[in-house]
Amino acid sequence: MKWLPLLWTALRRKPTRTVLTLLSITVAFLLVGIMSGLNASFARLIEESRADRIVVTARYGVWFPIAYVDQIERLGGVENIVPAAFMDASYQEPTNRLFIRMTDTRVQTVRPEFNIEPGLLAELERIQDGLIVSQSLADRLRVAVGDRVPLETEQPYQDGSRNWAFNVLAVVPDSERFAQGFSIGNFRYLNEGRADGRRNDIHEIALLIDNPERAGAMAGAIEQLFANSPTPVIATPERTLIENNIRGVLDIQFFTYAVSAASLFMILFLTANVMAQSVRERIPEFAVMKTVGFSDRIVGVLVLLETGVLCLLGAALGLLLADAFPALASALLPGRPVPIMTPGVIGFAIGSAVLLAILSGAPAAWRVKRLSVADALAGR
Amino acid sequence: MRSLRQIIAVTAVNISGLPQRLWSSLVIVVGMACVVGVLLSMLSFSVGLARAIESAADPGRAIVVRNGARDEFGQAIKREAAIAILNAPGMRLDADRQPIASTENVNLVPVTRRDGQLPVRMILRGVGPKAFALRPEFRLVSGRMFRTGTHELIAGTAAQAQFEKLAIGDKVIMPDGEWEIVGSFETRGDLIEGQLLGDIETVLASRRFNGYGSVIVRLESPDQFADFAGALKANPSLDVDVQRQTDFYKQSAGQFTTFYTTVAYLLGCIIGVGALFGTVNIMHSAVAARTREIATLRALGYGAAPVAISVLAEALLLALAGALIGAAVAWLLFNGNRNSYGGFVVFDLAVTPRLFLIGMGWALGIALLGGALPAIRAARLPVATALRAT
Repeated sequence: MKWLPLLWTALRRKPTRTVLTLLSITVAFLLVGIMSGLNASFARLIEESRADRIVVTARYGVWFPIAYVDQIERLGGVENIVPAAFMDASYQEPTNRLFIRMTDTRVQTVRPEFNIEPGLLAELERIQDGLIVSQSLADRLRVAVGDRVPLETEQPYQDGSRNWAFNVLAVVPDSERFAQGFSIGNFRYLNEGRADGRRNDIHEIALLIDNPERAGAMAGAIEQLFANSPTPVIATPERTLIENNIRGVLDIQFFTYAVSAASLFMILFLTANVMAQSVRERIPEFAVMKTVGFSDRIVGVLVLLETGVLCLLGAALGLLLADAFPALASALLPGRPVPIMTPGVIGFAIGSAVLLAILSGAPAAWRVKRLSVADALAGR
Repeated sequence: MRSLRQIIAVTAVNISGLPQRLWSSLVIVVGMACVVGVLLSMLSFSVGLARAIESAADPGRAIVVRNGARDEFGQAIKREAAIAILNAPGMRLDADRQPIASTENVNLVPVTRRDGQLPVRMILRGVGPKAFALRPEFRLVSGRMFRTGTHELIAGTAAQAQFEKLAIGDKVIMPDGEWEIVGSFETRGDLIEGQLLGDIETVLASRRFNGYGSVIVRLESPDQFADFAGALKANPSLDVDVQRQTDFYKQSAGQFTTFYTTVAYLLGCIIGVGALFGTVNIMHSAVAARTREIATLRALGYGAAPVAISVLAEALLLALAGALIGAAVAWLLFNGNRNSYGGFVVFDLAVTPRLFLIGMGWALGIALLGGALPAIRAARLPVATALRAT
């Protein structure tokens, strides 16, 4: 790379301008990184969802009978099945919220992503008011093993209040699937303590089936089974469920690409302008370079390389910042998917940076390439 | 007075020179257009959503729900409790001396959203006989009203536009069989217009419920709220929350929109910082290009402040132009687009005048920050050296 010193001199010519341009490009690529990282994060959510898992919920309300577990099992083809009810609770502050999955030991086989030791779940089975908390949630709530935590919920307790006290049995490592933490309690505690007249009602059944290709048919069979009961259900293969939830509110792909495109368009103009101006100021230099034997093509390429260095450096810095962004995002918006850096995201950013460099450097490079030495030296 | 004249003169000279710096000026215009376009497009989502929810509220109405509840689902308000609530003071009475009030509950019904054939669950609201006196904004636009005691529903026009198979004559499956849609209605674009309405007692029977999710009442006047709420709170047999409908819906809107508003401002800040650096960059070059002009003005006796202000004015003017373009693009692309939050709320994206002002403020703020350093630099140019500049 014998051109490196030349590129370096060119970029150092007006350091303020170079630094400011670089900062703009960095910020634009921070946004590109966050946006495509978010996209990748949703894509991974869908990809990691299991084709052989079916989720059953109530069709018209939120509660349905736990007896459905046995009835679904009798359909055949069910490997494992587990019921769950959810408690929306807060600890000390109303904003200090947690979402407890009240379930039983079978959760480990149906949802192995929690990755909890069987021994721990057996202990939870014995200790009704036990609570398993993941590390990040424990940190957020500031609770430790052995703590007795009174939680404010929407669920009436038999003593007339809405307070449920839990004992923190264990703090377990976080799961990749639940980046914001999770907590698991014993369904029997809810079922025997509740005073809302909904004993034996649950929110969800999750089941694994032996043949993933039959997921659609199996879901249909489950819906059919309860179609004429007072509480019909919706059964959906997990992947479809997640896809629908994501699509239901916002077209994530459109949104992320649109924001990326807007920020790239903004710096496309800026970079093209900066390069044009920089080249205009250096016309005599380029004329001299051509006089001493640099070919038309080489000077053009040099200008393009100069733009390329700016854009790629900005892209790299932007991605580095974007990689640190999830920490901020999860602090500001707990419980939401955070952007992730995948090879796809990095590839997309580098591709955009190269395209940006070519588009914004081309007019300046073209001008230098076509430069007539005689005119330039004469100051025309 | 003299300095004002100077400011005007210098700024005019400056602005008249803009065409010579056309391309670099365009950078600021395009940058602000992108920033404001992105910010307003994203905010149009949460603003439209909040508008649909909040416009369903009336300060003259109060809503009673189970203590601690944030929605109208379920059957926690038993019939005796509802009777006690309807005997409380402060409600407006109709010609028959009956309170203008409606016992209601909401249920979810699976439907298909037209956009992307997405399976979602929309809201079916059971309403009492006085629900329409309670909501003067309600207007039946075609078909007829449902009859009490029958499996009949009416559908909001927004719901019909957003979800499939809700036309008059279509059937909706409920736990106890098919319910026919017999009419369609409007409620001035609020969230009720995205729902199905049916007779409360028949709906409860269908769900095998024996209580209501909410009781909504018309107050004698908005200031009667304290009397009404006080009477309910004083009744030990009632475990309920009473709120003005405006407060209740404001809270619900917050639950839906806080996340999207935060995201919009967060991304707006990031892209704004990019534009900020761009503005500093361009204004810096603009000052450099005008070095001799500025020095000449200073030599002629013009003050430093008018020169600095002229630089700021240029940045503000360009930013304003960009912001207008960005707001116009956001308005053209998104204003009025129908959307729905899953099946829960059907709403139109909205680029409102308030959003327009936020966009302008955002752009002017960035321009002010970005123009400040170059403006100071322009004011401090050493006249003698600058005059010799090429």
